[in-house]
Amino acid sequence: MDIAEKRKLFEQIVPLYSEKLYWAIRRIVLCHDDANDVLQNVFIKVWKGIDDFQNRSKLSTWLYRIAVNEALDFLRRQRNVASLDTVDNMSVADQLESDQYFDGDRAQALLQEAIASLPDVQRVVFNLRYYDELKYTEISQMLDTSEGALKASYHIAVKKITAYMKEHQ
Amino acid sequence: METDERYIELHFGKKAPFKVPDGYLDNLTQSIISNVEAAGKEAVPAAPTSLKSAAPAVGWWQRYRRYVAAAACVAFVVGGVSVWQAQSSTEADKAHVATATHNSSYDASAYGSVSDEEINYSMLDNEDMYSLMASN
Repeated sequence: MDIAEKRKLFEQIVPLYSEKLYWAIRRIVLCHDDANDVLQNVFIKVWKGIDDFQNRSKLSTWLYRIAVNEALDFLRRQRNVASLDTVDNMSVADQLESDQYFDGDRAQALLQEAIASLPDVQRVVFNLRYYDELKYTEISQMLDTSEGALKASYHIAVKKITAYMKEHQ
Repeated sequence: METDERYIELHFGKKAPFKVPDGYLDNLTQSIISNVEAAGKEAVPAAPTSLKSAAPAVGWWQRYRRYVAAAACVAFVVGGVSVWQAQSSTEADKAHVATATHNSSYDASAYGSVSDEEINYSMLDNEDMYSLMASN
């Protein structure tokens, strides 16, 4: 693929998927600025990897996989920094309520806190299934995990979230 | 599970409670393309204007120093082995000469006695041999 073809394809992909990927990332990292940074990195990776994409999976699956991995990497780095920072110990719900780009009430903030408290895979599966309504088949290809394991993860995630919300409301 | 999922859906809906700055999504495509172009310019160095400038500025010594070092090592090893062999053969020669000298003096005396007998026997003819046998 020459540079002109690559650029043309890239310019078709960006408007089609940028907003969907932004929301997928935002639901994982929660903060707009962080989501934007991660999204920009995702598209830099897409640009670099577009030559190697070989249609083995759907384009959308490949893009979501990059986005989810980047978002989770960001969270891991953030956790490492946060573990060194003892001053900033606000709860997720409190942070969201003070965020100008949060558009919900206390209950919504607590729901996001409950989702954020889940292990990475459960968190991603819940977001992709509940908010994006993706099929297990697609999530399975994206995360390279069996559908059975994903169903179990989703089931556990829903149980935990419900228990958390009932306890905190 | 369905009851729990239904509980979440009924109480919180399916819309994530987030918003974005005004105009963010409208300009998102352009912002991403500009960012990728900027990242590409940083990553890719400017194309060289000529073949000469494309070649790295590496001197003769830097280019061949590995080969020179390897050749020096080989020469050292070969030289060392040669010197060692030369010293070993000199000592062996000295030992051999000493032994040979000793052996030759011994052999000379041995040969001397044998030669006398042989000479004596060789000087006997048939007549002498018959008379010698008859006398014994």
